[in-house]
Amino acid sequence: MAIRARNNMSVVGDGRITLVLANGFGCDQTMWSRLSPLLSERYRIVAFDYVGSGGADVSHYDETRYASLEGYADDLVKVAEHAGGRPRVLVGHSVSAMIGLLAQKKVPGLFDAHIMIGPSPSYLNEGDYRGGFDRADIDELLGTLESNYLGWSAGMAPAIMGAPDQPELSEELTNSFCRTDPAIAARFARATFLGNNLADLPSLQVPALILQSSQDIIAPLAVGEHVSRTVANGTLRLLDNIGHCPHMSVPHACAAEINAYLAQTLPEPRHPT
Amino acid sequence: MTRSEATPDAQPAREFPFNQQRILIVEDDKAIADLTTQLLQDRGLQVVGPAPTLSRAIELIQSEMLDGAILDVNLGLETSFAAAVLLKERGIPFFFTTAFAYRPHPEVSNDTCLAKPYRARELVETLRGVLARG
Amino acid sequence: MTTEPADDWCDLAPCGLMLTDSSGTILRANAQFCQSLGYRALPQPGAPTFQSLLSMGGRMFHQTHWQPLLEMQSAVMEVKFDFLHAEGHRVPMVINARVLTLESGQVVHSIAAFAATDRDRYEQALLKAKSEAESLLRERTDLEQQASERSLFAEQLIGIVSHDMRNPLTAIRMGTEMLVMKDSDPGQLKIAERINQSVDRALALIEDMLDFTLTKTGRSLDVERVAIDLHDVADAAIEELRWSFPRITLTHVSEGDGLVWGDSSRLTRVIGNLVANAYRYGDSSHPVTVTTRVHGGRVRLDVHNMGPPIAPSLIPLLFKAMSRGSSSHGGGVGLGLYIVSQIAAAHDGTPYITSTAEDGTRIGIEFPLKPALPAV
Repeated sequence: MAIRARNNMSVVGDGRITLVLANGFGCDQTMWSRLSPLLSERYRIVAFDYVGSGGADVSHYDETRYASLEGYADDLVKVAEHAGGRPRVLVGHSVSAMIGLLAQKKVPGLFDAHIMIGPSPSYLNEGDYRGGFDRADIDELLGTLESNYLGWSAGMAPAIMGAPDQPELSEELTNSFCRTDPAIAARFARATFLGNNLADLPSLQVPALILQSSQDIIAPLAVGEHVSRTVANGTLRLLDNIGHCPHMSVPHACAAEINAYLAQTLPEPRHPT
Repeated sequence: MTRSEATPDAQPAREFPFNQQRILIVEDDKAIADLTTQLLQDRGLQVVGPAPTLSRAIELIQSEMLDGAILDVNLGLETSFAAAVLLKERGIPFFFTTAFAYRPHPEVSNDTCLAKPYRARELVETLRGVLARG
Repeated sequence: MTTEPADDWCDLAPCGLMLTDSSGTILRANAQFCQSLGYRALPQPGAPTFQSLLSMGGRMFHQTHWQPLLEMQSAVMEVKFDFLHAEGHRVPMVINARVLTLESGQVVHSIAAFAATDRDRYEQALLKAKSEAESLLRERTDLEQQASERSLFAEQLIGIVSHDMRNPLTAIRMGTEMLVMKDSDPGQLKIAERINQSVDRALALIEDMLDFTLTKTGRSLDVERVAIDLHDVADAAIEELRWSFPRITLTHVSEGDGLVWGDSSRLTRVIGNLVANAYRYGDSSHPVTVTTRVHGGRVRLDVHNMGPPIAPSLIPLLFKAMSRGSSSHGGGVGLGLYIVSQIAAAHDGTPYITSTAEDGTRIGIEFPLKPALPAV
């Protein structure tokens, strides 16, 4: 089975280090289109879509497989192995940071470092841990997804109106970007927002950078701090950003942090003279 | 094939005499085995067995003098085909009886096969025909 | 906020209109927007941003979908959000939005909102109907599966039982025959006869049941068409049947040359089943006649009896298994005539029946003399 086609893999740029970009709950690899050009001059960038979203082959979608994050982790393992390239670093947004963690558990050594953008190991407030949401909030979200049938589903085609400074945006975007089958979206949301990977955090032994937005209702500061403290080798960097997608809204700041981190963590090996 | 058919060119089956020939009965149903034994004895034949299992049947084939045999195809979970092979090797005429009237058995197609339920008369006449052909 | 002529126009609009900055802070909101959410005016201290007006689910969607979309495409159309009324209840609204840069250089989001209560209700009804249809479908599939399993099980059971009954019935048959051979006491003979007749009936029934399960599990009746003399086959069958049915007079009428291509044991069974039928339902004071007629490349084999005619309404059902018509006068499992029709079909033929009060009942099968050559 051709992974490349199955997961709509794309490769741009070139460099010593390979970055595998994994988007979170929301849309598809188009989410990286602001950040990717900033990174592709320095690194080899591999992007993909999970089965059930974007341009991935939906005929491979299996309800049971993708009812938990493990199914997504399997996808990521296949993609990463197919991407090749060493050193290889995961850039995981939102739930993909946790998916990356699970993938690393399955295949230790899969990535040499993890960059997590807005990670959250659990969205629920439980005891001392403040995930940011109550069960009622999560239920409401899941209910919204299930009933927002005609809202965000395949029937929607957001039009491009009056975007004179962005002529490069093509029709392709409107067809796949952010449009998901409601049943698939609901299942992904369920797996994401009801998941609890707190216990998995210590298992991450390779270096991890946590990029934390200053105001993020989905991955609040306390959560980012908890993640960076609990993984074996975590570094927290704060981004001045309101919202959950800094790679879209402040891509330059993200790129700068990533460059600095990788230069320090995976430096160019010095050749013996 | 469910009924025996006398071949026209052999000795007419009706006239072939029974004269103490030794006939092996292989049958796992006790009632049929006992009745058949008595039936053949009443007709002036000697009965070897009856053998309710394949292994007993093979034992008797190897140790006894036989002029003919009647083999029930199904002996519990086994079939009597291994015994049939031995009989063929020794040139001993025989026929099968089977409850599987309408299911084709590739191994029995060339041999005479009498379908259950059969009449006592039918059994006797089939045996007579088989012995006549030799 | 000073009221400009533009605001008057906005306040006349029958939809909600709002202007926010790029982080969602509300700059302007028209009267309709405020009213539909139960606010006197917006922004409010408790509701400073567009996203603060949304339900929790809406807020998460705002972050994961809305913002990226606006970022990438500068516009979003027909997106439904659940807003929260000032009193707490849900207000679904459909939103259009676009990103604009004002002359001052400020980037703003221009938002139009339409109430979607009806649309929401319609969606809910649709979803409900869809989910009901899906569960009905699942139920139906389950039921079909169960029915199929039950029927398969029943058929297999019949097959097994029929097969297992052959041994004891063979023993009974042999035993009574042997008793009759030995004993000529007329009383004993009579008893033995009765037993034999019953055994024969039981055996015939088993044969029918076994064949029935074969046909019902999709296999056709095995038929070996070889050259036979039909008249001889009928004679042999009738001789046997005279033993089973001594109280009726069985006669045989033959016409034409007896050479046909048929399965003698199957055709014997046809005669047996038809005679049994005639015996059960006919007037036994009259003879039962078996006719074998070969003429013009066609073969006819039938049994005639006098007696009460079969009701015309039952005739179409006669050859169907276990329908009320085939056990038309009550009693019996009703397979005999079904098997007859199956044997007819296996000979590329058909069954036929005529039944009147004056002329009695004639049931039989008709088939071609030779099997059709397979197409090359």
